[in-house]
Amino acid sequence: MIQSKMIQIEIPHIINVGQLLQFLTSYRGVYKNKIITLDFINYHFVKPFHITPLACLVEELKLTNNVVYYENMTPAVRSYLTTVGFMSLFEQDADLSFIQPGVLFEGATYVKLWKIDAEQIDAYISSTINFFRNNNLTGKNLDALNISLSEDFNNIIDHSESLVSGYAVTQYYPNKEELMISICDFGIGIPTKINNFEAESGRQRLSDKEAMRLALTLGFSTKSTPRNKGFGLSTVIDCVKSLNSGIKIISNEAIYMIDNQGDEYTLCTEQNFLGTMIVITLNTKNLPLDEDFVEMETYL
Amino acid sequence: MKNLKTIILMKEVTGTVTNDEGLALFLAIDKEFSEGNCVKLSLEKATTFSSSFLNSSIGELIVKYGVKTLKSNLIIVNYQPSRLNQIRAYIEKIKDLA
Repeated sequence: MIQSKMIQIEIPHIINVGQLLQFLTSYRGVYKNKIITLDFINYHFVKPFHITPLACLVEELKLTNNVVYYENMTPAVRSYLTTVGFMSLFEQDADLSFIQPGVLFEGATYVKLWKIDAEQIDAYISSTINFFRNNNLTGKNLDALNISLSEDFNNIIDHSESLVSGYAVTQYYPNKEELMISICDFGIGIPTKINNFEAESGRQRLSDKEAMRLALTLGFSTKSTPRNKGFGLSTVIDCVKSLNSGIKIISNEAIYMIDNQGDEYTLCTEQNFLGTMIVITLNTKNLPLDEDFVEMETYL
Repeated sequence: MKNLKTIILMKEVTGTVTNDEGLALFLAIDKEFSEGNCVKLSLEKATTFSSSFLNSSIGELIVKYGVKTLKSNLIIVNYQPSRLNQIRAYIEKIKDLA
């Protein structure tokens, strides 16, 4: 009886986002009231886009009354997951209802994992911007980082219908001069949201790929709140393009991406990811310099 | 002659990300417009505007007063060029979609 409550889940060696989401999809919504051990024996290298969906998974497991343990982490993996805040976020008695945003020690190249909280968005973004301005990207205009975070957080809050609120982490790679932002939620997904809206409006269902394209069109909005005007995602994409940077948006059975060469793709995926994951890689060589304030008066 | 009232953005709001903060800016400017005043809006220390913030502030001012009235009665001062360009680009997007 006790043994049937105990489940072992082996985290695979993850190379790309597709593998990660395939792994997650296998275990979503499967277990209730179990003792689950996440086995890291094959998992040796952590990237930001691993942590945010993993955090969503652990919270989702806990919301269905599962107890979650971890084993076989290498010292390097444990150290990273501890420093970035993953381990303390999911300690056995951790209160997930309120998590302070936080940054790491001076010189560190990443900002801690953060459970997205509508009341704390301004504080989190402000502390993240200040951290990178003071530590790694001094003198640079960080509008692109601000926009990447604020638009995606607002989208999760307005549209995702996620029971798990979503997670974010940002890491700077000084050798590559890249700033990687990973944000993930386990909501209904962008194509599903679009198709629900289309159905309510009496229109035909779109494929997930077509729905993703529609979601990224300037001015298209499902009006989840009265003031939504459909500017959010297109603003992020314009920002990414202006910096010759990259983005991946994976949701349901669609992926939209801009690659290192600036080519844009909207593709079908093999698995249905219930949620949305956004990974933005900003090329920091292309960040403009910070600007002075102009005292002169001007009309719009 | 219209009176000119100064509003300092970062004294009306604590951030420029959320709809609620955008509403706070809208209410501050709307109060002056409805009394027949012009507004000088200081963007000193203003942080990057999200589209939600602009929707709830500039967007709602456009809905109530129109682009022409907004442009005639709102003066911007103490701005970084990127902030000014964000507002201008937003207004152009709204006009294109109208």
